[in-house]
Amino acid sequence: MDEAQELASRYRELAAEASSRHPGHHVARMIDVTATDGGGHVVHFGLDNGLEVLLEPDHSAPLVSFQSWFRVGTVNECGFPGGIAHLFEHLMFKGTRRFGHSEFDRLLEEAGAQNNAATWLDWTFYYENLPSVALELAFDLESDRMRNLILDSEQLESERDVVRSERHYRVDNDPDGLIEEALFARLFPGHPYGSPTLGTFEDIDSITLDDCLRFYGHYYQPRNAILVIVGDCTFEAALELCLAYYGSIEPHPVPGCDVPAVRDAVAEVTEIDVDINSERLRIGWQTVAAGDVDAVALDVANEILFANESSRVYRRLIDDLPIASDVDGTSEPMRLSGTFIVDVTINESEKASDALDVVFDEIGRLGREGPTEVEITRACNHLEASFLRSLVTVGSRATQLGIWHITTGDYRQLFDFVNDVRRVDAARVRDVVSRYLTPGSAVTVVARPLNPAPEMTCDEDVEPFESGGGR
Amino acid sequence: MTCIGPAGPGEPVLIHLEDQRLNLVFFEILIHGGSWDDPSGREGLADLTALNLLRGTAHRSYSAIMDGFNDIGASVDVASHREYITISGDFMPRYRHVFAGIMSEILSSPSFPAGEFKKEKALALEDIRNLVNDDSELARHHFYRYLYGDGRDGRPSGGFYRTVSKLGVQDCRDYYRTHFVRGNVVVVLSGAITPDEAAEFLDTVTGEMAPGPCLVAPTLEPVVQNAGRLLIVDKPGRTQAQVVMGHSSISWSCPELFGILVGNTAFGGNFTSRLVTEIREKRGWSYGVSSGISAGRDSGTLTMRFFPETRDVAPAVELAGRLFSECAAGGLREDEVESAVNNLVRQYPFRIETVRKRADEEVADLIFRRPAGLSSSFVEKVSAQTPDSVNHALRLHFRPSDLVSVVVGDSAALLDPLSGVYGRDMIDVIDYRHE
Repeated sequence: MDEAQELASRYRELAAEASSRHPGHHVARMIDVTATDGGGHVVHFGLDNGLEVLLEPDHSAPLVSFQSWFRVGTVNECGFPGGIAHLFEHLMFKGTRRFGHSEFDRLLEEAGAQNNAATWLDWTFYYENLPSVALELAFDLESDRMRNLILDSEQLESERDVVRSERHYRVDNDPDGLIEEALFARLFPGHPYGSPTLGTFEDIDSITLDDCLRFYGHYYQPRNAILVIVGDCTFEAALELCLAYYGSIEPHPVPGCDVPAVRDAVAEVTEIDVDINSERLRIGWQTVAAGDVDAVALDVANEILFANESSRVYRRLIDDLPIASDVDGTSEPMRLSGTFIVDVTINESEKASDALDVVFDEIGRLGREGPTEVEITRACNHLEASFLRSLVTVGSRATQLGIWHITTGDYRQLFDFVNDVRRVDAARVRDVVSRYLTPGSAVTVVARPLNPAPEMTCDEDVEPFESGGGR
Repeated sequence: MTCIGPAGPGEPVLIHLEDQRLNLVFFEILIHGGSWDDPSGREGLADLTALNLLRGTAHRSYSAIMDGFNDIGASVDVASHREYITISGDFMPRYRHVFAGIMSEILSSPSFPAGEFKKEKALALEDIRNLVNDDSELARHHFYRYLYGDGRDGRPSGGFYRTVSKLGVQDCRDYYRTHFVRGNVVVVLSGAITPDEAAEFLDTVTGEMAPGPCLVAPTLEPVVQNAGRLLIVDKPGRTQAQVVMGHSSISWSCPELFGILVGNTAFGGNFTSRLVTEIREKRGWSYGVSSGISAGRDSGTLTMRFFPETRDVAPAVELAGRLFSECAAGGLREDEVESAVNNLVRQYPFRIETVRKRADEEVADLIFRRPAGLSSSFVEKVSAQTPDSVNHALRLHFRPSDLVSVVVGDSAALLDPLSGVYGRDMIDVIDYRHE
């Protein structure tokens, strides 16, 4: 029996003992223990009301990250107005029967916590990074708002304005936001992955208090939740706190959501006018869901083509021609599908169409000829270092565990990542490039400057066009 | 923690913190002399010189340098700040010798090839042009310009389009010759690297550099302007405005430093602070609201930032100014001070959570000439703050009549409402393409 198995066996006994101290509460059950590279381990356990818990003890500093993940995002908005998953995330800070409006934040701030939340296509999560002596407060507040949230019209209206402000900020006044929204709508036609997580202004305005109450009832409950705890917390403490604060919450079935199948995107080039000073090119492909064996090979292909200064497309567009000032690529597997997105910032007076030709030329070449051994090694080293960087803080480690567990269904795949990358060979790179990154499935958005390219002006050669005096 | 050196006059400083738990080494090579050192009319020189270091050495082309770093998965970023330039990033410890070898060449024998210089300069100019795409950065840029004018604090570290355009390869060679000398370098290493390995790294990386002294910019009082005025940076068609309000502020040596840190936390530093409560929570005017103080070596800058829809800009600006004045004159309540003290004290472990953050504290001590023991006494000094000490600090350092405001947005819709707050003669308007 290895160390992880021994721990699992011991924790199983502890879970039974602890459950017996909480009569009438849902009992705890061990699921598994996994050793990590750094000599630590992750404990995966749950309560029989459906709550799952991932705990990675790390006692090197008196800090802990406590994260509450819910399997609800834009993709679960069927039967609700668009944008409700995100607006509802804001409402979760508005108070409960026990803790009034702003008490939640005030108590956490006094305890020295950093707290916030985020919503994306497959998930919503809430986090508290806090001194470990205050961990029980996070359990208390989070378990309380899972069942006792109070919503009223005044809070909804105030937060609706805040979310409208967020949309103005992230989309309508941000070129990147506008381009991304245009791309996703075309990449996932008729599917909620193509809908904006923030919702449109019409969506945001149409959300009612009743919608919010129904949404809360559907999705905010233990069967739909995963707690991720990383830091200065023992298994015994986490177990006891889970039983005490979540053990009495009754579960109910999570209503099914009739999510349509992901349809193939129509390969097209769409032009949009944006308030920018030079053209932008964004190309997207549908790829594979998280956990698919091809996901890591696509990561390697991205490194070879786009992701660093030695990448093929980067070198041609920025160094050789040069017609662009920035090139980036990302491969993001999600729960039901995945995306591979390339973003190119074109130099002033150059054309996005020329960059597009280069992108397809290099993709085609990699698909035909495959990568060199040097390129494979370089990509593997890059991905290994990126992986290590993503695990530096207790908060970032907890976030990685949460994302991997929600999207793949098994957090343990996180710890296989580096070895999986090292197993990718040239043939697999050729294979995924040829199958997924084809011109016939590429969705392209070309953003063109709304106004003619601006001239940079300065004090010596121009008068401010209107001045009230002073300068 | 090991802090070695300088071993003697004209020798580099090494700051080293070991932590073997994560299989990465974080590095920072810091050169005294950032945008403060740029000669007038050549703003952007320090930045462009640092960027060109990677463009070729006596033995490697730009491509070979990039391949060398990328082959081992290293990350390397170059940045310039007001007081210093940094080359920073991380590498995996098994590649320590390879990495140090390339870095040594970059620091000791850059060749500034003309063709590569032209490409790097074109990219730098493209970056400056692209500033207009980001309203938030644009507001920040114009705030510093409007507040500090052509003084050294008003310069963007990357320079202006007009000044970078005029820089030549010889300018960079000259800057390199004066600044990239052994006595002007600080090497910071943290993570999976032992003291002996760190000392060896220092020798390898700086051993071939030319001798020379430490060049620290002289102390100067900041020159400020436009107190009480507002600048609209006109960007037609925007539905939202980016607002920055603020004034020059304290240095790290200020006796009231900890009082101001507590005061700012309660005023605009947290979700439950006054500014956030009034602008976001009660009125829903802006998704993001905050106030902050960036303390510097000789002085610092205090800012309030938010981004309301166009229709809410004038009342939001008026309210922020009023809250600021009320806080300066009337101070904070006892419970607000207590809550802010608790927040800062209990959050302190996050300031030193990782070995890299601890190294950053050491670097800040050195660069900003922070009083000895500032980091180690942080909890004690914050805990000692009382309502009286905090309100005294606010009376001294929250200066409502000195506030300078910048709004990036649609002036056609903003000018009249803002004239109602400021008076038309206190408002300037410029086009967003104006540098």
